[in-house]
Amino acid sequence: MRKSSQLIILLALITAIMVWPMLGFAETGKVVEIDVTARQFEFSPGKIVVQQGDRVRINLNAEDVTHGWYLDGYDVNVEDEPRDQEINSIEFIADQAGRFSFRCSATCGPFHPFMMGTMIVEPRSTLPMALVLTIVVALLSLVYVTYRGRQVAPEVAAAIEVNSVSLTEKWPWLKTLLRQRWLQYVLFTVNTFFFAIILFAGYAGTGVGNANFSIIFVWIVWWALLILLLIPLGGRIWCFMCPLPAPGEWLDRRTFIGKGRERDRNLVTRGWPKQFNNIWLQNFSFLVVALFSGIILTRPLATAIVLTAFIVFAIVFSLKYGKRVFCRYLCPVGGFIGLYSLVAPLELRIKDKETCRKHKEKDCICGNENGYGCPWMEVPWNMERNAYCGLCTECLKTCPKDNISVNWKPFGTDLLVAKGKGIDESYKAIIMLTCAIFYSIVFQGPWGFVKDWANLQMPGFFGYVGIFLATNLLVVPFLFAFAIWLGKGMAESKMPSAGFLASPISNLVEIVKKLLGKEAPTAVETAAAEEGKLPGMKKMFVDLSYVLVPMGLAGWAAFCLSFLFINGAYILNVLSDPFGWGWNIFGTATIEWKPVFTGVFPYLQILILLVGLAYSISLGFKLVRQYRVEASVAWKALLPVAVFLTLLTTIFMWLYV
Amino acid sequence: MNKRTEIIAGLLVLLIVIGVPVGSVMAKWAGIGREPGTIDVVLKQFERGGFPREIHVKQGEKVRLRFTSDDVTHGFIIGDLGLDAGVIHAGKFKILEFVPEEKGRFSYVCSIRCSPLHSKIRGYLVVE
Repeated sequence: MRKSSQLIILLALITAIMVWPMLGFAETGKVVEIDVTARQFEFSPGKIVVQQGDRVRINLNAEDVTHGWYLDGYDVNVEDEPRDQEINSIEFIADQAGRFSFRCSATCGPFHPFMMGTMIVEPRSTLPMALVLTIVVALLSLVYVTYRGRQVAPEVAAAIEVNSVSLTEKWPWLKTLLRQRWLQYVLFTVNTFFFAIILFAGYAGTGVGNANFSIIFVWIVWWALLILLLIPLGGRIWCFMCPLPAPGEWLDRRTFIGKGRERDRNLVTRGWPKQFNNIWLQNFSFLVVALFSGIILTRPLATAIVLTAFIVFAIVFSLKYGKRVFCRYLCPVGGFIGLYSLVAPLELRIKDKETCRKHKEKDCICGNENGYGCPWMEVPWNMERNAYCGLCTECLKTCPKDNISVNWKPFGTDLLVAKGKGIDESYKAIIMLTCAIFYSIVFQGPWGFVKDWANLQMPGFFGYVGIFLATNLLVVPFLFAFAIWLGKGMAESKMPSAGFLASPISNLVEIVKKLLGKEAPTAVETAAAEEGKLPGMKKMFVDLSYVLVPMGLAGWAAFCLSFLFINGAYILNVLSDPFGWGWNIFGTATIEWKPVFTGVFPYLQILILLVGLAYSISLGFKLVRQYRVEASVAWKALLPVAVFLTLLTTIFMWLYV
Repeated sequence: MNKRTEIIAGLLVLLIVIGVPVGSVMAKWAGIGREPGTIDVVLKQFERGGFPREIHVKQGEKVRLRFTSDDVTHGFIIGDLGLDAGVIHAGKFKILEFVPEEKGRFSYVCSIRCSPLHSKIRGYLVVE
């Protein structure tokens, strides 16, 4: 583990040295004049290529409403009003080589923050370099894992426990704190305050997204915080403090802080339809939210309505079924936080299995006077992964044996745990990765027509729905299945039956049938393969799909970086004027919009994507080695998957670099 | 569990849930961030409701209009009075001060093309 982190740091250093902005320029003296037409929500041309040292003159002509043209890195800006006589221009010397985004600087409608294009100042060293690096990193990590193959213990899980540190033992005050019943209430209340502002701003505030607290705090502050910090470090820690289920939970328990009404765990689990005892509902709820993200991310009112719907659903499900049924089975956010929390080093586990075995009362699932039985319907002594533990700390409060601990362990260890894996999670991993690409294309690409579709322009939206769903549920699953099929064939020197390639379709048919019926979806064949042999392709598909988790998280992180530094100024604006009513509470309402770190964050994106790629490949190798196959067999089985991952990274590089 | 604590906890939540919207509305009425006598004018594209139909002011008294746009960049001119508020950006505020000398209805329009139906935008400043 330590060795692999050394490798990652080494790779990071090489990247930093190799792709840091190429310095040195000579003015060519050439004047390049470019007429740029701006309309909602694209520039044409959307891509401008000039030579380093050129004197560039941009003549901006706005067609429909007032637009601006702001160039990252150069910090130059020009604005033009439509249908006026003059065409406004800006002139500057293209002295820095590289790839820069230009974006609209005069709010021009809902998709304004995502109206952008690319200017390339040649010598364009960044993209080819990034692509070469992608392949180099992929090859290096393949070589590395193969070289280390003999040392990678197949039973990685056993080695993990030794490495984890119990935070609650190390810091007794933390244990005392987490045992306080008021702790979650205080966090709920603080977040309820923020959500009250968000909802009110959404319903009553300005319709201008970037001047409205709701859009800025939900889709910039919260989303970036979640992806960049909370999930990678704390896993489901957001679920501990999320205020959306709080009203439902308070109503169900009939208390705010103290121990109130307790639902019988068995009634809850039996009451919940068996066919939904998986995360398929969350897969679909996320797809629905993602489909309308063009509306939800840009309209304050839409954001408020969606959040209200979450609260209402949470209340209804709390009262009908009890416990955290909404969070565990329905919440579109909860679904992917759970899967991505497998990366996180923070965990809640029991200390000693024997203690649990001897303890007959099972307060952790039945509850006692100190707290509730697990609201997430987990069984603490059987928990080996972070996925469905909401970190609500109830078991810390109820356990009379002091047998619960909050631990810190190496990143990503839960990804290697075989128990609990399922095809619902595989699809979650695929959907999240695909959506990261879709969001990047729609919101950070130069293509106005895609933005129009996502903005519910008919009939384009219907085509978009088709492409979006087909890519998420059929195309990417097919490509991944193909990589598995090819890998197994190569490893066994005998191509398996091609029937498996149709599995994305049969999977869908089966899932829809089961969800509509009353049957629980059958678990994937779990029969262990013979020692030293690869198992069936269905099992390989599920097991290996977890390599998409680090990759997907890296893609989302890259997406977050692309808007966080650009729109940081809005955060200060809406703090002072949350509803766009002309307030200036902290005196920051009039700070001008100004992107920061525009020259730096693309390199940060490269770094994150490459780390994601290297990590995913080495994870893939460990997962294959868990079948106890020879390192040489594992290498062959992994190769097509590694190519698949490299291709995905290339798409992100192409979009961002 | 302590019943009093529960009641206080509940009241605090209630205070937040009711206090935030009510407090905000009251602060708006109280005129936070706005000089007394200011008339707020929210400009929208024609499709989304356009400009306010009428703005009422009194003859001979100083008028302070504070403009903001709810969607894209707008302008605001009253040709007959020779008044021009300039460029009004979405989410930003612009102030126009003047003293209307004569009574009457004066039409105002948007001076910056804001949508295909831009030219349909019209409203009246009514000086009483």
